[in-house]
Amino acid sequence: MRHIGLRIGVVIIAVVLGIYAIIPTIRLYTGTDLPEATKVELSKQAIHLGLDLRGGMHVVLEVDTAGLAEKPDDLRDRAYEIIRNRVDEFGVYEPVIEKQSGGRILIQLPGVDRERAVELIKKVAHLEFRICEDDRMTEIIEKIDQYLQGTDTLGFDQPFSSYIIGVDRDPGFDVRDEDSVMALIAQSRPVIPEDVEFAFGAREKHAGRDVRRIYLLKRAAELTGEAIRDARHGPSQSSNLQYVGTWEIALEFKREAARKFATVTGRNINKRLAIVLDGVVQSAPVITERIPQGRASITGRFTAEEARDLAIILRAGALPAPLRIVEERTVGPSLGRDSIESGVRAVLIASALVVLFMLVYYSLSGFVADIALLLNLFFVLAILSAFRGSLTMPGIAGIALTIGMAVDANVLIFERIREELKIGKTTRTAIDQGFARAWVTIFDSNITTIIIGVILFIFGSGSIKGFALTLTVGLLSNLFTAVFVGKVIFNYFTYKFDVHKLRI
Amino acid sequence: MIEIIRNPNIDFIGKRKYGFIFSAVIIAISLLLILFKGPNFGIDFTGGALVQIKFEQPVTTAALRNSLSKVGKGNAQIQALGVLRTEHIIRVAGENPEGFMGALKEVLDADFPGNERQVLREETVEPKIGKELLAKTMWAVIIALVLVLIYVSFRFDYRFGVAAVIALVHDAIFTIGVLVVTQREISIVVIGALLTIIGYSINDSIVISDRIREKFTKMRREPHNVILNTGLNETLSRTILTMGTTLLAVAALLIFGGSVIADFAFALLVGFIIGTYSSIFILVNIVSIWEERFPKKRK
Repeated sequence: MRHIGLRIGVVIIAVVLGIYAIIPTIRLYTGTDLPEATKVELSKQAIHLGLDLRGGMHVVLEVDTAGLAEKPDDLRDRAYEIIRNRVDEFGVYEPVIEKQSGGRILIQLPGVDRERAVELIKKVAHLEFRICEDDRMTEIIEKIDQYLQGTDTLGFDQPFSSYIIGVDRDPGFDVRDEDSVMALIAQSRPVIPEDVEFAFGAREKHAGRDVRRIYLLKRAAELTGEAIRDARHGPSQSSNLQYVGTWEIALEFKREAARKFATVTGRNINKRLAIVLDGVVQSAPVITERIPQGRASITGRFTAEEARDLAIILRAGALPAPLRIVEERTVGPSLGRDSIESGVRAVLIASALVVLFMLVYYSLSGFVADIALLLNLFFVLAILSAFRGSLTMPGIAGIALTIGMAVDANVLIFERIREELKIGKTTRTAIDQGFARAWVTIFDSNITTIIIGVILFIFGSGSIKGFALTLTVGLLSNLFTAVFVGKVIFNYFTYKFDVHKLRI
Repeated sequence: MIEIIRNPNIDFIGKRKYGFIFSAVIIAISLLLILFKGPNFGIDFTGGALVQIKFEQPVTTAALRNSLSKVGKGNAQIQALGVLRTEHIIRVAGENPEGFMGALKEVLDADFPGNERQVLREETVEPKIGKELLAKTMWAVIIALVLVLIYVSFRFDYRFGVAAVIALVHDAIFTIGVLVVTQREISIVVIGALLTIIGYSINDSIVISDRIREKFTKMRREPHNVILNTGLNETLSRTILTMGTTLLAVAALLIFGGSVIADFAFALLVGFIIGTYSSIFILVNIVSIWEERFPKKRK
């Protein structure tokens, strides 16, 4: 009965702090048409929804060090900077980009289109400007045919030239023949001059077939992506009919590179300049005059979206090495919504069942347990808000579980009080003794589960962490609500109404 | 006042034989299943790919399997969700999960034209990452167990500590056994459930041990087994009540919680039931046999 006023004060202060902490969360998730700035502001003080609830992608990338002398972690650091620039410009809300050991980068992007995001992150974006050697094409193809005739062609009895079809004015091949064409070219290496190599365009539709164009390019690049100062997307300015209605990327070179570009274009008038991105020829316009302004554009049947993303990627620069996805977890927005709905429903039903059960079994005292239980639920959410904790689907499961397990404390206390009453103790003594005796047990039994929760939080991976967090927070706050708050309520009411017969 | 059992006085110690026989049988069966059938480890640990797809019109599992065999994954696991058979989870174990996703997309486009579909969830894990995750998780489990054992031994007699750990190993093996029989997937989240079961089992053991510890000081002259029995009976209604409320919560999760955490909730349900059983029939009985064979001097 000591310090009842003080103890009531503590409970009230805790509840007020809790309300203060939880308000931004409630405003953020229930407020309709909040201005964007308010949302951003609120989200800094609210519970953060995990990717499994809001939808989005979680991906771990690893740098591919094959054939590179640099250390994986150095490559990773460079790749990290570039990816961060790309993601920042792409405009994702609350992205997470983290370096991990072993040359890995963790990226979490809420609510993005998966295909687009993968392209944005993974594209190496190695850009090259290379001169086409169209004049020598026919001669080299003939050489290959002659050469292959004289050797064992590994079961290809057709000559190389028979695979070649016309695509507008370029040679090309049907993509169904891609394996054969590539194999024959690889075999013919001895007769292909060292200063040139074959390159291919992207897949396209031509006369009802899927085809790729064939180009013969100088092996040495005239300029690379490092020469680029700026890249912007815009509607195609090309006079070529096939690019009507498509988008392009306008490039601006750095000063040094612009001078070189002028020289290259001046020296190669009437030749074609191929723009090669990650080994695929995007376009190969004819050089009609020397270009001194240091500007060029990439046309290639891009949609507005593709052109915009590519411009971002080119501005941010090329990755130092290819990246491989070693882990990916993507959740569509609809499953996220379903998960929230079913999770909240499960928590509500679990609470309702337990609340009802306690009322029936312990009558009026069950009501005290129910207040403690609901207060516990409230504090868990308030603590998550205050520390900007992440709520995930396993986290919601942790909350549901807390509800079931938290009443254990009340059950322990009430069973003790019943025992004390049975052996003839007065109501007040029974309450005091019941709480005192049960406390030892409650403490011991909660500590072990909390130990496990903390270990899971420290060592567990993403999805387990959320569960460990809510379970641990729930059990800790339960020690306060079931024991401290519960006792305050009992003391206050038995004192105020001078209760002699406890309904428990 | 409602009481589950009024002043229970069940002779648990006297009937310990049945408890041990029952436990021996279920543990033997579980171990055989785990060894010979093997747990169904999820892609979290084996590496591989998981896609959850929602079609507009129903699609049979057989038709899906036919499509999957065209991309060389006829042995994939296909799980249909709900009665409409529009939503399916496809799991493929093994290498190069990234390439599989593209191939799957093409074959589904070809095989189910006009049947719009939506990818709800998509996970790929390389086997290398799975192995790392498994190692990390094992460490978490071992560290958690060691800490719990230290705590229990420190707070109680070491006999209770050892008995509690035997009880929880018993619970974990049985739960894994049930997961093997029902072919539920063991994912990283299910491992979290196993740890929670361990926490719950320890929780029960502690409540009972606490009471017995108290009884030892109050009933000095009574025989050892009588004290153990009294402790069990006095905590019996609490044990059943807490199991009841916890099962209410877990059942709500299992029924209403959705597909993502169904396996997790199922593991908890099984584990909590067996955890309650073991703290009544295994924990105290081990302590009682121990005392009979190697009596402790009483102060």
